[in-house]
Amino acid sequence: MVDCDIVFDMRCLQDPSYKDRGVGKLSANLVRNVGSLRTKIETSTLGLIDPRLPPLEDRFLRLVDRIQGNAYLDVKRRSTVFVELSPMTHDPLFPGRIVNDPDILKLAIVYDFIPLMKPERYLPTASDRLDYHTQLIWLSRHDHFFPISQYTADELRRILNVESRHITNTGAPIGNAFERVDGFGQWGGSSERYVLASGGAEPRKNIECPMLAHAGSRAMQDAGVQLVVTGNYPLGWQASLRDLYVANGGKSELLIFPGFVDEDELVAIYRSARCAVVAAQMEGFSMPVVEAMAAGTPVLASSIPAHKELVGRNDLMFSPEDVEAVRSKVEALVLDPARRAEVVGDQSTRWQRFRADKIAGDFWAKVSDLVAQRQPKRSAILRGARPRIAFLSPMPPDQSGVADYSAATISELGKLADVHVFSKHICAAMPDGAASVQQITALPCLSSGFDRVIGVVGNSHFHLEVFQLLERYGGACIEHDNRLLGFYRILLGSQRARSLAERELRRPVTEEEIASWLQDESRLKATFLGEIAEWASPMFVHSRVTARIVRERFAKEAIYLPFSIYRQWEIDPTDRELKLAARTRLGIGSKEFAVVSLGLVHSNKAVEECIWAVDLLRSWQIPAKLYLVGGFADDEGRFRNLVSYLDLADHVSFSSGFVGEAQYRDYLLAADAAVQLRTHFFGGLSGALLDCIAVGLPTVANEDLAVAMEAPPYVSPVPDHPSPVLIAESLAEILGRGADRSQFDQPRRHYCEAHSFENYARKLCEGLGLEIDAGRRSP
Amino acid sequence: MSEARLPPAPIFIDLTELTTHPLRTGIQRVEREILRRWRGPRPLVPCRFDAEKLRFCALPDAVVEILTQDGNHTVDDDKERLRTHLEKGTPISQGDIDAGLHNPEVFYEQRRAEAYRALCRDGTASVSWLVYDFLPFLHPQGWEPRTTERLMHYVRTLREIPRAAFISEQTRNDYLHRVIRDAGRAGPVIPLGGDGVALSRQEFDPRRRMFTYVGTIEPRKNVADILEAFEMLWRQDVDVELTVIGRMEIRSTREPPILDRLKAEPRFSYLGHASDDAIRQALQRTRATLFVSSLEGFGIPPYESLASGIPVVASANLPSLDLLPAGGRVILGEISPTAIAGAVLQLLDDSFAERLWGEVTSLRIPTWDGFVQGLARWLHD
Repeated sequence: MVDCDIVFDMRCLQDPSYKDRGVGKLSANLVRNVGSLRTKIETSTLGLIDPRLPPLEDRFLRLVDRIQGNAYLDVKRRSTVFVELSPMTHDPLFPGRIVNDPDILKLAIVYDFIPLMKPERYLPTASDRLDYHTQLIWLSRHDHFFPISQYTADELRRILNVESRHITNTGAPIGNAFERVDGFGQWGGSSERYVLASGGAEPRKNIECPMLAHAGSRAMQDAGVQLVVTGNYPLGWQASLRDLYVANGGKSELLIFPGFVDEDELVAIYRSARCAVVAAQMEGFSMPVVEAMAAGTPVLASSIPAHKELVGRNDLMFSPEDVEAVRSKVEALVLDPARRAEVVGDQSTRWQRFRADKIAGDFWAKVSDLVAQRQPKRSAILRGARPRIAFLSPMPPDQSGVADYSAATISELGKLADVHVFSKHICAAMPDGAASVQQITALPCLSSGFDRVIGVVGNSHFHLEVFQLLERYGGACIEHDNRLLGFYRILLGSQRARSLAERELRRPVTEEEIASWLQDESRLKATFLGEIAEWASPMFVHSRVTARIVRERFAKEAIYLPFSIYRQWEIDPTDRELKLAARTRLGIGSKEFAVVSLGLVHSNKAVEECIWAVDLLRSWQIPAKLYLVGGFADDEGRFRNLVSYLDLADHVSFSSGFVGEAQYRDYLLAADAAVQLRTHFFGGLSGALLDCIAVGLPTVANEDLAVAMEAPPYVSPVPDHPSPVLIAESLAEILGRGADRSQFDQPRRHYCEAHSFENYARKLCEGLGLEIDAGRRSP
Repeated sequence: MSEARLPPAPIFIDLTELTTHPLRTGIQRVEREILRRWRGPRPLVPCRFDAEKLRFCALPDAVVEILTQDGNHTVDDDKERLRTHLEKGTPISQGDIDAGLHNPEVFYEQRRAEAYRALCRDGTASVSWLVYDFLPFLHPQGWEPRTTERLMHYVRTLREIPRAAFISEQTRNDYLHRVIRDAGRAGPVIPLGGDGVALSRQEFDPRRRMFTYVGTIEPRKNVADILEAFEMLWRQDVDVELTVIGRMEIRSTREPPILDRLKAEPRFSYLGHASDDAIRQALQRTRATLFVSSLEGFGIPPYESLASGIPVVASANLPSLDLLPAGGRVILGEISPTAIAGAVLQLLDDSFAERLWGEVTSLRIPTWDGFVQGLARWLHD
């Protein structure tokens, strides 16, 4: 038995304009009956939905095994069939990556090309015409087509040059109520004899034709035969039609608009009618014709191609403009019972092929054949080529740690795969390891040329474009930050931030609460990672704590990748001579206990507590001096005032400005200890702590950070709620252990190996489901 | 001609916090006991730090009268009664304050801290503090994030205070080895009294089937473990009762749902915040009390239980019990419903319980009189 994933584009079932009309009924019928395929093929089903449309109702939701808010399919371990249920009604780019994928069997239901027949009405602007033709191009990329009528099949061949062997006619299924018409009695809306005219709030339904015919029929007017006009006409439109009807000799009381009716009532309306008239000027298929036949009501229809193949008799057809012909044919059916009986008999079997189960059965039987016949194309990776990865990320010269991190990732990842980089700003030079670098667009998300698409997201404006593409098209995601509060609140607005936080915390969240989180992230309760977790496949995080939170809060599995060391050392950073030289360059005294805190100076790094800790250390006769190595990211006055109040001006040093790379490295070499704290948690990481670990520098870090970093033993954890006493105590213990970093050499080397980019790139590929053959590695 | 004897110089006692928030629990209770039981010979004069004048001001004797009366007044009543007297405070001269200023309070207000530092820098004043514990500094997770930094004025000032006494060995050790690290300033340990409940010594009666918890309900007190232990016992049809006394703190999340499901349990009572009388009544029917806190500055409820003759099931390392010789208690190395249930079952064994009740009779629990006398001796020294 073949294994197969069936993917449905279910957007038409979200859209109120389609979900309960012919498109929706046909689509739901096909999805509902996918089970008929399971006798031959082991299937799982996935429904694609567009988060911008109204949510999919439960009645549709339960038709598939799972749903997804984008069309990114990552690991395809078995055959995949994509069923485009309504190719011309929604954004064709949404499923673009699937439609472009040669490994996927793509099927499209085709309804009609009506806009091309009357472009002045349906495609009035150049933009409309361009959009429609774009949709036609996307439609043409499917492998097999299921037009709902012979007429549409002919049009498909004519317009898109589709070969007949790629076309299988299907039809629109008749509603369930029409298949049990015997159970219905008289329609309660009228006790008189009436003619049914099938309309709809569209000019092409040509309702004026049967109305004029009826109004002008003296026989019917005199006999009091009513005209019931179906279709949900607005009241103003009804009034205009009534005026027209009366002006042409009709009695107003004989004209009835039942308005919206449910399917049961519609059956009853058909059942009680003397005959039905369908006068549409353009159709791809005509459900009213089939419904009338199923209800046992003789039907007259305009002689358009879609009607001809359904009715099959010229004497029951008329030109859409020929009111006289309609009048005489209707009168014959209404006034001549024998004629009516003969037509009913003729039409009693024509509709049977539109039973829902038959249509679905035929459809899935054909799909089964197509799957069986298809020679699976071996994917590029399986054919032995190197995987191709689209890597969407900020890159240097963006002043972002994530940009640097991505550059280091690509350098190693490029040894395992062809990495094509897409960035907002064109890099000055080709990044080491990259196969190409281009400006970021939707292209990599739509192209079938990439085995995987990876978007890199973090809590800054550098990630906005990547975020938006991930939202729309999905993809793998490397999520750098443990919370996206600033990103959502500042870049996406308070309403969206609040709504996301409420969903995450399952309680109301006020604007004031979010403002308080922004002011002091130690109060933060929400991670704002819910949407990323929803969109990404897979989501990568650099902290097991964050992975656990994602699992607990969003019921999604995030893949842990070890946060890797991207500041490399050509020298031995534990060398004592190098340390002394660095201290000399920085002017650090030999007796001084030099404590560094690296990175931007911000209150959310517990800077105040660190200053208080220096006060305590000095009261304990420890000659400590704190070096805050980084610019201010917060009001510097509060820190300077505290230092002044505690009389620590000689013992706390602020950086005078930008700290260059050489000076930064000197501090790493020269320090006796470091302190790296976070007051927001959720498994947040610190590049600065990673630097400290990499050089074997004993460091005090809060527990959440230490756990998230899987810190080695020379990182001393302190509680997450920072206490100056405990920070000072830990620093004093570090001093007590001695300054020789070589004592930590074994755990340091072990950590560096586990957190190398070589290891990172390998695990990233594993997480992406890319099996990397050692032989395909480039040096 | 005989020389007129000068009256002994007063010792000023800083009641800034108590006179602002005249509560009756915790530190405020200690302060009231000092005022109530002080016997001299030097007079104890109440004072407070006036944050506007930046001076310590002596308060009239009426303040002591109000603060030492029985607990028939509400906190708001006492505030109102104190208000006019506080306005009558008179600044204390440097000479007077040099003779002795004692602070039995914990405070974090910067200006008050600076006033103490100024006195200490001058070097002439006899300034002393009673130190309770360092929990917010050494166990900050029990407080809101970023709380500890705001409290650092206390520690910074304490290291300037020439004389410090402690309510437990644990606190003294923390002072000496972790927080201040200056042996020269560390005074004695003066244990608090255990006789605050004022209950006559109880006798063992095998008919007592009730266990009692007295204390606030907050996460570190592990009351949920106690409740779950009794749920386990009741599921096993063990004939035992539980009474819980104490107000619920807002940070408690485990206990409310358990209390909710125990509403219909006839063997369980939750009294909330209760009067001393209600506590006494409960203890008169109690076989043993339970106190399994993870973290305590002192831990007075088990102390009071033993002082009333009632054994206790307690967590290890409670500073209060560390001051006592062994006996009269079951100490749990691990706090869990299973461990608590095991201890309760042990105590339901009459012979075991009787032995423990016997051990309690040999314990000499410090009294409040003893505490105040010890404090007075130290202050007069």
